Amino acid sequence: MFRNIACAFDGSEGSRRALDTALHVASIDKQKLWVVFVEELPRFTGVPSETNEERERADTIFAGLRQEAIEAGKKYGVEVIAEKRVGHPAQALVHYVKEACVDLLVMGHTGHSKLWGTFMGTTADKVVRHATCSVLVVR
Amino acid sequence: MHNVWFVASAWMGIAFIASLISIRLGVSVALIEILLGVIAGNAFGIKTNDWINFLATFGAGLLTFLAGAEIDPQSLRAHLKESLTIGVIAFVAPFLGVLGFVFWFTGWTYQQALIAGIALSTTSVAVVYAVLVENGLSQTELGKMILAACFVNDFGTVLALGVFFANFNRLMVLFVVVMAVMLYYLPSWTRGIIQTLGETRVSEPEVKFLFLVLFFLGGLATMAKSEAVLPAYLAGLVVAGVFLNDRVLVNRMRSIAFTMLTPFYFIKAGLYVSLPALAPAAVVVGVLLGIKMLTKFVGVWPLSYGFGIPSRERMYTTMLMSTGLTFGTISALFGLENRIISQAQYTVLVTVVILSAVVPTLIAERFFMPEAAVEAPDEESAAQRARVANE
Repeated sequence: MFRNIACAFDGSEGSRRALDTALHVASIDKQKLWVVFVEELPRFTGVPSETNEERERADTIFAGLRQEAIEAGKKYGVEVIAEKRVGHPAQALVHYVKEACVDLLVMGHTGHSKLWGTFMGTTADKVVRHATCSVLVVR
Repeated sequence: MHNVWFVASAWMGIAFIASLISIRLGVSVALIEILLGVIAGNAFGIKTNDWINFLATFGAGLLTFLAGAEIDPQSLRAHLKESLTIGVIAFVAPFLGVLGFVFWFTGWTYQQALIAGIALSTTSVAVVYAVLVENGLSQTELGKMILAACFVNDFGTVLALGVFFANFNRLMVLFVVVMAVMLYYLPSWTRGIIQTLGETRVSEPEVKFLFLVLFFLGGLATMAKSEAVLPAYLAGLVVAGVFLNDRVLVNRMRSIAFTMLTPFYFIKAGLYVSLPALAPAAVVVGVLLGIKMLTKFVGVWPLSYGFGIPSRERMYTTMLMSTGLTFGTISALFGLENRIISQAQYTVLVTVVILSAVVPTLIAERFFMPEAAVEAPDEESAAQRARVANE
């Protein structure tokens, strides 16, 4: 049914559940799964190295998450290809699904902070509103 | 409060809260520290003292040193003509524009107008760099040229701050001569210490050596009534090549700066912003921000056109060159601490500086983002995706 499936994965509990669901969906039609990680850099920085340090930190996290996603994929017999994007998470995901012609994006409902999501809206809320593809929000 | 531990804990508490907010919002900790400083100064009447002033001054110096040390000398050489021309004009145009406006239309004295011109002539290398990285432009020729131009622009700012208010006497000659000799030998001395004593020693000799140089040159600059950030920026520039090959040293110095020194500087910079003085000056703030952006446009846009930069990238470059933060606050604080400008004038300048970090960035990203940057995918994944598409 879906040929190009992607999953937003940031290591939070919600995104782990989303990864599990995405792998299950991908395994039904024996599709590959694109796992995307968004690196949010600090804005309006004081020195350039502030950005570099955050990037190095995010790269380390990405390497760990990439490995975790690939290992999880093996359990379902699904090939996982991990990608990293830079920017505001919702904006980057919306750009990503459009650019990569994704037809299903799977993502968690809440990320690292429920409190923040309650007041400011979750990334999932924003992606559902603006994405050009189907979005499966896993609760 | 006279208990030094409680005073320190109050300041570090603000710095800690700033870190938490910064991580949550994805906004620079420097900006949050300034804003919390504004609240601390206006709502709680927090004041500075001698040791806080020293930590803040050293924080500004180290920040300036690190900013200078982050330039890629090869990139600067490769884009020397474009970056030098754009950088110089990007400094001179807003400097003269702002100076002229506040001197002739708002009644500021010539000295005060000089501070305003210098504070608003800056371009924030850090803000520009973050935007370029986020948009995948930092490794492109356009990105490297913009960054090099920003360094040249900031050098103009630091030079103006160190020269316009200095006393030209024997002490100045002594300062210039000693600084020139030390800067000439600084790269080889630093490299020698690292090679002789070995990298990553627990006793950190190379960091202590660089601090020694910064303290000594700062002392000479102060003696000559110049500004300590001038030798700090120049020292950073000359050791940039060493830092390029020793990221551990950079990380250590940055950790020291961001943990123990720059919070004191940025919070202090916010502390002197007077909210009651802001409301009556709102129009001046808006006009000065407009002048800064307009003069940057007038200076940078035609040159970008002359260098054949495409239309959309031309506007993007111009907008990014209009940003400012660290050097703007350093210049304004220099004016306030030397009693050149009043607290109300300082409030105006710092508010414009903060707005200039945010407004041009948002305009550039919203309206002038180069198409190639938005669409640029990660190389490895693009190849994989192409392979899958062909299957």
